[in-house]
Parts: sequence; structure tokens; C-alpha cells
Amino acid sequence: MSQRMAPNLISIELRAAYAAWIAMLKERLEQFGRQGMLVIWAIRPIFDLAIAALVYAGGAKDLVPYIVVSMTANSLVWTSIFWVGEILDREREKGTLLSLFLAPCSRLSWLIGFAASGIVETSIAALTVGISSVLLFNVSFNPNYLTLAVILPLFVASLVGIGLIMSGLGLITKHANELSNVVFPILLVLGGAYYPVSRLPDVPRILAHLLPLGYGFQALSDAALHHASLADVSDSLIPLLGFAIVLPIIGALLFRTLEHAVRQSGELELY
Amino acid sequence: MNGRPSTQPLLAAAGAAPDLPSHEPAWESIMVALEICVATARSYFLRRSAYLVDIVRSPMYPAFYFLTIVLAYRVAGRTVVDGYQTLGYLLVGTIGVILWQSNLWASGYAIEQERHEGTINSLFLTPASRAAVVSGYALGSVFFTILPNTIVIGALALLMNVQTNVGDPLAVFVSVLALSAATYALGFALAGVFVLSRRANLLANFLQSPIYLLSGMIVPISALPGPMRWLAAVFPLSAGMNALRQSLLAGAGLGDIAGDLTRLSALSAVLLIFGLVMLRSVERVAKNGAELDFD
Repeated sequence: MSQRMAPNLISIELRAAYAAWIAMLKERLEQFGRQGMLVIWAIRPIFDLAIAALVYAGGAKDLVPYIVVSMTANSLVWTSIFWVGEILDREREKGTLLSLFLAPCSRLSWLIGFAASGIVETSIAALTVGISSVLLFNVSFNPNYLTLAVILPLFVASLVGIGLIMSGLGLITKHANELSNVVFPILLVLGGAYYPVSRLPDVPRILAHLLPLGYGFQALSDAALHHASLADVSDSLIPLLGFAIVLPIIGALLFRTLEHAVRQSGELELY
Repeated sequence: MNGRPSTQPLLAAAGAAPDLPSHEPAWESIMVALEICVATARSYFLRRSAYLVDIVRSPMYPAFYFLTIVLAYRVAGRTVVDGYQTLGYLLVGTIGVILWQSNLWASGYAIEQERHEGTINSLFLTPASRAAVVSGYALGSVFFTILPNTIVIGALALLMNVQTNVGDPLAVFVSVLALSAATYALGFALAGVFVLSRRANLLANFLQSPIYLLSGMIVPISALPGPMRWLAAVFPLSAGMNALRQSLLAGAGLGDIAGDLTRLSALSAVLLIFGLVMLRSVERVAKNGAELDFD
């Protein structure tokens, strides 16, 4: 019997993730409209990139390619903070949080489904930044696909951990968006989206090394622009691997603990 | 809000019946509008400061954005931007960011906020001036956002030893006032547009970066490509940023910045008129039963 149960369970989880993904995509399209999605995900990133590029255009022009890659990858950070981190609070606002927790599938399935919708939007932004960087700033890519295939999942795994931590904290604070607005600016300074953290003064550089973002941006940039091999990016790869293992575990444990605490106190649906 | 005579029928004020001729003296109308403005500002302040996380978050973005851009310029090796010391240039830019952000999310978002909270129908049923309500949001944001944020940025500037060169304090005061008025006018112009678009959050999020760029807040307008430079020239906030930079960092007097101030005032007036027209459009849509409270 257990042999038949396992495929069934996997099928249920996959269908739940797919259903969550489709539901969120439809909700976003209804909320913003196709043109709206285009404006926010395909046009705004060009302005953000333009600001950073113009800062470097008058100085270190060699950094423009780096910020193209780092700002593209920063869209994933944005998704983990403002998207994954706020999912449950949004469900609470809509009054569907309790139903979500009562659904006969794991938390992971619908969390992955919801997050996948954010990844779709982020991919549009990444594509726009990539194309506009080639057209506007003559950035040329020389990617090492093997290195990217290793680094990108590690970077995403680290961000999943951060997203889970934020999501759990959102359950407790009940103000996930406000919390995201507190955390994101700190990540903006120390993350390295606007500059390689190796070029920062001592204090911010030491603090930046406590986060996975700088390692991820640097490794992704080296792999996408300079055909760097895994050995070439080992300085970033090893710490990133550590973050990719530790952060999801911390995130899952914290999420579980905080969810349990909120349910025990009967405050799951309260504002 | 209680200053208006109770004899005026509520439905007439809401637009369901023909407007009745008003015999209120002008000064009384102004006093009523002021009361509405102050009451809305107080309500805005109390709602925004109800949770600690809201109070903490308010100065976070401008302060950390300032630090991010300062570090970016440092990494780029640029100590001078557009003829000004980089830190001073960015200090003024961040003041612009604070003013623009707070007006965008307060006065610009005012009517949309009422819809989000489910009170837009009640708002349109009251005889309150819509412009006074929008202005109330802006006034509330002065106390909740602009003043605390400016103090935080001022403290950062002191810590980082930002050099200023003030030749005429009155010119600095007038520049700040004119820039504040211009950002308010821009927010006011957007209030109706946001509600009618039904995509307020999206538009507000989208507009932030283009306006940083077109106003010369973070990068000088002279660095923009040709067509964007022309657009920036007619954009009201760029003149305000220029006036404030000259008076705060280059010792300019009122006479030196008169041209910028005139341009700023003229464009602000146009924006205010546009805002009033848009608010009337919102009113018309509400009267026609277009169910503005629906998303």
C-alpha cells in the first residue's frame, strides 16, 4: 500500500504546486493587466539600470557589465523578499490563510507554486535588462553555462532560505510588507547589486560578507561575462555553497517554529 | 469637517441632486477646507504611526538608498558630480527623493488609499473638498515622513562631513519650499489619475525611478542622452533640484535662482490645475455610479 501511496503523494504535491502557480499568475494578471505587468517588469528595470550605469559612465565604466548581471540577479532578491516573504500576509489580507493551512498538501507545494509565479515575472525583468544592456551599453556576454548551472541554483537556494525566514517573520509581525521595506534597503547597501562588495571600504565589506548576495552576484557576473570556470569562482562558490545549505534549513525551521507559535496562540488570521 | 452648515443636503453635496447655490463667505469655505485638511492629516499620521514597524521603516529607504549611491559613486571614483562635491550633490538629491516619495505615496495615493480601506464611497458622500482631503494626506506626510527622514539624512550628512556653501539662507528656504510645493503639485496631479487607472500601486511603483532620473536627483541631467535631457528640461522637479543645489552648495542668492524658481512655480501651477481637473473627473465617475470602490 505504501508503494502506491508515495507516487500519489508526489502527484498531489505537484498538482498543488501547479495549481498555486496558475492561481497566482491569474491573480497578478487580473490585478495589473498585461500592459501593467509589462510596465513594471519590462520597463522599470531599464530605468534602474540606467541610473546605476550613468553613475559608472562618468567613472569606472568597466563596472557597467557587472551591474547589468548583479541588478538582473537582484530581481531574484526582490522576489524572495517582496514575493515569497509576503505570500502569507497577502493570503491573510484576502482572508484565505486559514484555508491554505487546512489544504491537504504540504506547505512547500503551494509556497513553491506561488514563488514560481514570482520567478516568471523576474525572468521577464532579467530578459529586459539583458537585452537593453546589449543595446544601450554595448555589454557583451561570454557565458560559461556549466558554472552558471551550478551557481544559479545555489544562489536561488540561499534566497529561498531568506524568503522562508521573511515569510515566517511576516506571520508573527503581521506586517510583512513593512518588514520587507525595512530589510530590502539594508540588502541594497550590503548586497552588492550596485557595486562588487570587494571594492567597498572595510566595514561595509566585512558586513557584506555575512550575506550570500555579494558572493552570488560576483560569481554570476564572472560566469556570465568572463567565461569563468568553477575553479575561477571558487572564492565565491564555497561560501555560497555554505549559505545554500544553511539558509534553507534555518528558514524551514524558523518558518515551522513561528507557524506553530502563531497557530498555538490562535492568531493566525488576526491582524 | 463639522464647520459646514447642516442645512445643505448631503445628497446635493454628493452630486445626486443639483448643486445648490452656496452663500458661504469665501473665508468660511477656506476655514472649512483647512479644518478638513488638518483632520485628514491627523488621521493619516495616527494611522501610519499605529505600528512600530511603520515608524522604523519610514526613514529606512531614503537613508540606505543615500548610502548605496554614495558607495556607488565612491567605487566609481567620482568625487565631483556636475561641479558639486559628490556627497553634497547626493544630499540634495536625497532630499528630492524624500519629498517625491512622500508626496507620491501620500497625496498621490490619497484617494486610492480611501478605496483600499473601503471608505471611498463615504468620502464622496461627504461635502468635504476632495482637494482638501488630498492636501491633508500631504500635510500628514510632512510630519510622518518628510521631517523624520530629513532629520535622519541630515544626521548622516553631518557624520559624513558634507560641505555646504550657503550664501543666502532665504534662498535655501525658498528653494526647499518651492521644491516641496512642486512635489506636492505632482502628487496632487496624480491623485485622480491613480484612481481612474485602477492600477495605482503599479503606477506609483513604476514612476519612482524615471522621476529620479528626469529630475537629476541621483545623476546629473547633463549625463542623460539627448531626448531624455529635453524631457527633463520641462519636468518641474529638475528646476527645483537645481535651485536647491545652487543655493545650498554654491552660495547662490535669490536672484541667481529666480529663473529656476519661476519655471518651477509655473509648472507647479499647471500640475495643480491638471490635478483639480482629474479630481473632478473622479467625482464625475463616482456620480455616474461607476463603482469606484471596485478593484
